[in-house]
Amino acid sequence: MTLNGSTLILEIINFGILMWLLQHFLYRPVQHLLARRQAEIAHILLQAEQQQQQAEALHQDYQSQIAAWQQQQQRAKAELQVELENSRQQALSQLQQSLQAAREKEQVLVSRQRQQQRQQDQLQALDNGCRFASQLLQLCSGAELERRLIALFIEELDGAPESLRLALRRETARELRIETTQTLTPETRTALLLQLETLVAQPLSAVEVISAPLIAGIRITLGGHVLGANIEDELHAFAAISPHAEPADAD
Amino acid sequence: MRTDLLTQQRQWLAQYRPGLRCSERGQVVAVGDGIAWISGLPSAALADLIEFADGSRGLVFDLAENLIGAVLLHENPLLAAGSLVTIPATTSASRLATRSWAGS
Repeated sequence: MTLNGSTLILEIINFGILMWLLQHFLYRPVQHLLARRQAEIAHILLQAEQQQQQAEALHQDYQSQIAAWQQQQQRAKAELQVELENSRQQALSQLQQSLQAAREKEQVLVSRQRQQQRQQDQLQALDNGCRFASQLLQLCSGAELERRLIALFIEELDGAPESLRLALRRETARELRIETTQTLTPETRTALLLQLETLVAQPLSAVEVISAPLIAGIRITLGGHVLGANIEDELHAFAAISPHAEPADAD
Repeated sequence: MRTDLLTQQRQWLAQYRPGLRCSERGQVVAVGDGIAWISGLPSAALADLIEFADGSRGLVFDLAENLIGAVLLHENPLLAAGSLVTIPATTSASRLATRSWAGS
């Protein structure tokens, strides 16, 4: 093949036409196709990236929820432990209180039983003492003791308080009942009546009675009033002391 | 004040001196239907508790000129006319009755 100018020009034109054709019918569509494809790929990549971000967000959300649940679980567990501990402490405290109350109740019961036993023993001892004194005095008493008690009676009648005098003066009865363990001597009887009449400010009559239970001494009854100075009344006064009684007035 | 028996005895013995004792006594005149009529007990007052010799107890509800009416709170079958009656030491009206005038 010979290379001349026209051929070269034609070849150049031919190449130019080919290049135009290629440019126009091949290169542009391919470029469009590639651009579209790249756009699709970019879109897909963008979607994938968005999905990945969403997935990561969801993952973080799940992680945070799991963490929150775990914290909540820990908190609930701690609260449950505290409640259990409180309940245990409360039950323990109630049990201790009930045990303490039962112990105190038992102590009070035992104390009361001891006190009652002590009171019974004291009353029994008092009764025994009175019996002993009564038996001893029944053996030992005699005319001398009776005389002294009657003398004491007459002496104290003289110093009787005004309230007693008034009470006796209000009595309508005028007959005395005189109890003694031995017959009164006329002198004693006279002195006694005189003293009583002075006290009552009225004339009185008297009935004498021998009364062995007095042991020694005298007892005089005028209406509803009884005056005496005798062993029986003294022993009764001592035996009448009660652990529950108010202390007697000592005038 | 409630005190121990031994303390009571000590107090009683510390103040004790034998002497004139004055008390009041009454006598059941009639008894029936839970009511006892009593003569004596000159210082008895309404609502006073009274004790009978047989262990019966009564509450004064009527004060007549010479008789006292008492509702029987506890009636012993042995209670009959002639029984003696006293006012317990704890009754205020019996202060005169239980007082020992010794040392006054």
